[in-house]
Amino acid sequence: MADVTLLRTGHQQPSWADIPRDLAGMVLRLLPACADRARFAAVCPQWRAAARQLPLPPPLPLLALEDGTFFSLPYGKTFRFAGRSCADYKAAACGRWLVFPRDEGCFVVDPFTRATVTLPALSRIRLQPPNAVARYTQMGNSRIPHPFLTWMHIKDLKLEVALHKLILCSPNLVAAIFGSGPHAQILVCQPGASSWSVRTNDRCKCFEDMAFYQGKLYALAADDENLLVVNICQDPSTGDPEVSRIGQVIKGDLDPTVQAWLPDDAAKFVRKLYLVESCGTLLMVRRKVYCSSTGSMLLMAGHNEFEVFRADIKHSRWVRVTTLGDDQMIFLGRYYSRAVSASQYGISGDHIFFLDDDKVNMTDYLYDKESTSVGVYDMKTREVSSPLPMVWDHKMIHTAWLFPDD
Amino acid sequence: MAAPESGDGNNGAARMVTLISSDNTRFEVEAAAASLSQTLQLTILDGGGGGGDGIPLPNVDSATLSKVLEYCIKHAPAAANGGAPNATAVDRAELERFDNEFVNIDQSVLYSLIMAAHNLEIEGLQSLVAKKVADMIKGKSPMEIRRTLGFPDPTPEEQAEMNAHMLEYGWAYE
Repeated sequence: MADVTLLRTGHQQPSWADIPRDLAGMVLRLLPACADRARFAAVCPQWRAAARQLPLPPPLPLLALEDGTFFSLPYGKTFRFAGRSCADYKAAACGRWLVFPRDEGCFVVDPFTRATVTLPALSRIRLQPPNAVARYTQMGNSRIPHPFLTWMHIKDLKLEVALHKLILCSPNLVAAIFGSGPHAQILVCQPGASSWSVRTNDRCKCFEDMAFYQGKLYALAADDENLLVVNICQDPSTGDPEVSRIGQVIKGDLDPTVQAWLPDDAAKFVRKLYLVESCGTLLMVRRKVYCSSTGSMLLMAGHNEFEVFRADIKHSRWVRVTTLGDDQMIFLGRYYSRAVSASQYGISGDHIFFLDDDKVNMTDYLYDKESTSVGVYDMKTREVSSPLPMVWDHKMIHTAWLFPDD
Repeated sequence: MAAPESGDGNNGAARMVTLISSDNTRFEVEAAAASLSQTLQLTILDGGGGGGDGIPLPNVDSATLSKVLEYCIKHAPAAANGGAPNATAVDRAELERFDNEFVNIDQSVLYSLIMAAHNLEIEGLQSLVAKKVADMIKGKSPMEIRRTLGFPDPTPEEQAEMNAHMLEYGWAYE
């Protein structure tokens, strides 16, 4: 049989299948979309080998939707991970993991390799110290948390605590923000452990984002835009990580007009904060989603504006930057944000790709359009465009960027 | 085999060289244009290709060589300027227009061109054709790519392999 194959190959016309490996590489490097690379590799065995063996710049990210389908940038066609169910993921982590919280455990799955990291179920929480109680003070007819809201109040009041953010910091440390809005707290665990650890007497804050930057865990609180460093220690008997102390690294300098609603309806906006590392620097991206009131309590999302700040940890301040650098672009997302070099894709930099996403279980505003999408903010012109041919009817509340080559 | 007036290989645009295609057609071109080929550049610097001698190119037929030389002649002045830092925007736009039109040809010709450019080490031409091929591939299914590039119809085994690969990658259209 092998001889017959050889014979047939020998009689074939010169073919694109047989182009030298370096030429195949030249073509492949000009295909930044994941989907195009996969389809290139399916064409013939020679091209498959080239796609597997040649070093290539990372592909453009995928965008995973809650229903288990995904988009491969820049295409507006949906794909599905064949033979794998990726539907109903509840969060995403670190570029290539989808998170499935179940009763028996919280499973963090890599849809590309099917690798799974098992974390404790979200209900399995170890209190630290264990004897803490929720204290209240009476004000008129109502009972209010005293001296401030802690994890014990969240438990006591049975407030919903969805997973807002998850970071796999190291093989022994996973950090997560449980809950959203003012009822959020930072919990930590290690893979394979039986429970998460929470500090019961710490104040809950509007933890909006976290980043593992230069070996340390940082958190950003929306209340005051303070950058906090989350110090971790280990339980001496089990080796499980615990939060030992949360310290302030940068004091936010929140403009009062940013903090409060302006009287003018047209200027209302919802503020969203993101942490992302770019070229070795930790950045805070402040996004303003301008909203218009519909007459009822509902707000309709309008245009977006972005401001970017560099963390000057040494001087404890946020420094406004007007450019990301000509070669940098940021993919901004609730679960995961990432800065990448733009020139490797042959596109111009200084852009922020953002999603019409929203908080988990807490919607700030509605969309007046049937289709929500990906927007691109140009740091230079301060204009938003939608250059990607992506139009779809899915809600974008739960979407996550996936970077297959992480 | 040195040509009679081999010179120092550096004496300007007027010097001509002769290239001989696999089907024995002779092409006389300026040395500067032929030197876009790294391979030919070495031979020419050595004094080859001048006078009555020609440089035989046994892997390139006359139709392809004529197309390759069309590219080289067009790009030689810019290349002589060292990537044309002082070229005007008009010059660059003209080159771009030429390039776009130049690769607007059948895939079989593109194939011959990129193979010749690879053999002769003409970097710009390789990139140009690679870009065209990438553009022809973008957004297409593996079957569509095969048809676009003139692959024979896949055997049932090849078809099965293609499907298996797409599944392995996890890609299936909705």
